[in-house]
Amino acid sequence: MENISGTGLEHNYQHEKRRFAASTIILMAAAVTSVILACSIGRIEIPFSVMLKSLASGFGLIHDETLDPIHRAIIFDIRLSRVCLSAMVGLALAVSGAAFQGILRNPLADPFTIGVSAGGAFGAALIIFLGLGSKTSLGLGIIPLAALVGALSALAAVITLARVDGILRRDTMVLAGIVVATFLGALVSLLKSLDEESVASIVFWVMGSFQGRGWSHAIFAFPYLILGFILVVTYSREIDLMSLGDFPARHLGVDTNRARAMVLIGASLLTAAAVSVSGVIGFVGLVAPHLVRMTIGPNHSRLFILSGLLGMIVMIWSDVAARIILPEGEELPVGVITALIGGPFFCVLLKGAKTGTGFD
Amino acid sequence: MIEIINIFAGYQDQEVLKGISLKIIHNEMIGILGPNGSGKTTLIMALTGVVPIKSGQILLDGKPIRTYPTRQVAKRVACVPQKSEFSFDFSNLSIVLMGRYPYLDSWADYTRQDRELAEDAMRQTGIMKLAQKSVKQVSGGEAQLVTIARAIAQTTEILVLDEATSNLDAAKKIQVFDLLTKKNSEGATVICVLHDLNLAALYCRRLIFLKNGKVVIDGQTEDVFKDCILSEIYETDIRVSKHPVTGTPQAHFVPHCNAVGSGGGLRRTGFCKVDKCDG
Repeated sequence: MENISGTGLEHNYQHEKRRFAASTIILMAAAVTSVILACSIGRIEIPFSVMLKSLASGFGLIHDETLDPIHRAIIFDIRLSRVCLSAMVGLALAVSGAAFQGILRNPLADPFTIGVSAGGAFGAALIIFLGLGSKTSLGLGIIPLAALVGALSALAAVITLARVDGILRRDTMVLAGIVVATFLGALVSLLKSLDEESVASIVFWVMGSFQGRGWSHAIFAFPYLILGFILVVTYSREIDLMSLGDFPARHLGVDTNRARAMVLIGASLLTAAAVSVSGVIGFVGLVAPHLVRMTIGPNHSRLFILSGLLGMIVMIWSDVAARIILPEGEELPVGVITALIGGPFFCVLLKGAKTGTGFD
Repeated sequence: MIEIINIFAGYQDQEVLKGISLKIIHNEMIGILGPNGSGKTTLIMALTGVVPIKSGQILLDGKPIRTYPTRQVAKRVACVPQKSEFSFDFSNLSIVLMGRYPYLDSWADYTRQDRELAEDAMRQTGIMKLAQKSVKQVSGGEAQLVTIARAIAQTTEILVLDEATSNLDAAKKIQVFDLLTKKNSEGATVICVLHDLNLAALYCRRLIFLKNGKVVIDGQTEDVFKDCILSEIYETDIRVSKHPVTGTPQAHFVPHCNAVGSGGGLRRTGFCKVDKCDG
């Protein structure tokens, strides 16, 4: 009798493992398909076969003399770079959202509510306002660098505010994040009203956009993204244990102060990587982790991988929509799309979920 | 062996432990008792190394506990806290499996052996049927059993429990303490904070009473479980008699008022105060 229940558990464990593997493969396939399909969509009509050939030749897989170099440039240098960048940003935002929610045990924590996104937006807006937007460093504008510095400074400010007697309080942290985000948001508005000329470019930072971004941005953000991702994934089991509370986690052998610091830094690097190249894009960091948590449970190592993939797919298609939804060739800020879809979707998610959000 | 030498500890400006010294040797079964706010939980947190002490020393096998890496402590001391938070929808089995964390290599997943130990711990605490349920869907008492199973799965030589059975019914309390006694007879040192005097007297061989952050009395159960001692510590009238089956001392509280008489109203009873302790 007991043996039967025992093997039942083992069976169940294997079943969960297979389910996770299957979900990963499906989402990976969907992500790759999305990248290819998103490259074929644009204002200039390019046949699908030409698109595939352009991609292949861009990666040096084939040499086709008949290929129009303009088509190749549009597909490989403009569309693919932008699609890859949006995928990276989607992954970064979803994973950092999952990490912030996990480590702070707060369903509302995400890059935006924690103030990190606002810091990045302020850094970028300040540079635009000062008219330094055309200055370059590391082969691209100084704006991404300023956004990165802004994001990390905002995190430092939030941590300083949330420390009471040398202990970081997770509930205070979300409050401090909202305070910092609101304050920085007001500063950005101030900059906007002081300088009518830069309003448009600041708005694109505040609402997020991939317009005109390419490989150089992707290369700029990549190291921060990888470092941040490795940090949070390394500490995913510690996040699981710390959901029991600080003392129980320490009783189980977790160095909680170190783990929390590493996860916060990792998640902030991810956010900073995203904000520095795209501006502030909301809701992906909330919706993707919640959706995954409801489907496969709260195990953070699985959560990071699956919500990262889901974030990629969501962002790729949001950016496609931002590119083509207006008839006149105008672009929408992609943050408008994610908020318009994400807001109502999140409400449905919360209302419809029988098991809740996985939080108290 | 745990040696506590004149420790002071507390939170912010408030001193909770005011000079406590204790020696806990291998394979003891100890009950820590005392009125609310006497410092029991803080003592437990200090001796497991999670609340820093302001002065004094806590030695685990002769070495200050703070010099051990957190994981090394967790391989030797398991703690069942008074209250557990469950922020996420983990299954009870996953919660119990967390007891195997100190033995995990970084990056590695729990092994089959870890899962078997977790299952075994759940079997011992009688919660096998809850294994796949979410920890948020079980009752408070069941959650306590899950946490106890986690501590058992940690396979440590020292088990520390902070009111771990407070939400359990009488039968489950006995079941848990029978299990702790079995662990104790297999070599484990068991230290439990309790409010239930009689449960402590039934199972613990040594009792330590705290009051206002100090040890007021510490000794073998039959030596310290006395009318006058208990009455003085709890500042209420307590009488002790023998347990009809085991013969261990059991406490009885004497109400100040008693609903006696036909009027139904409360009336002062004429129970006399216990004589002062002599020495």
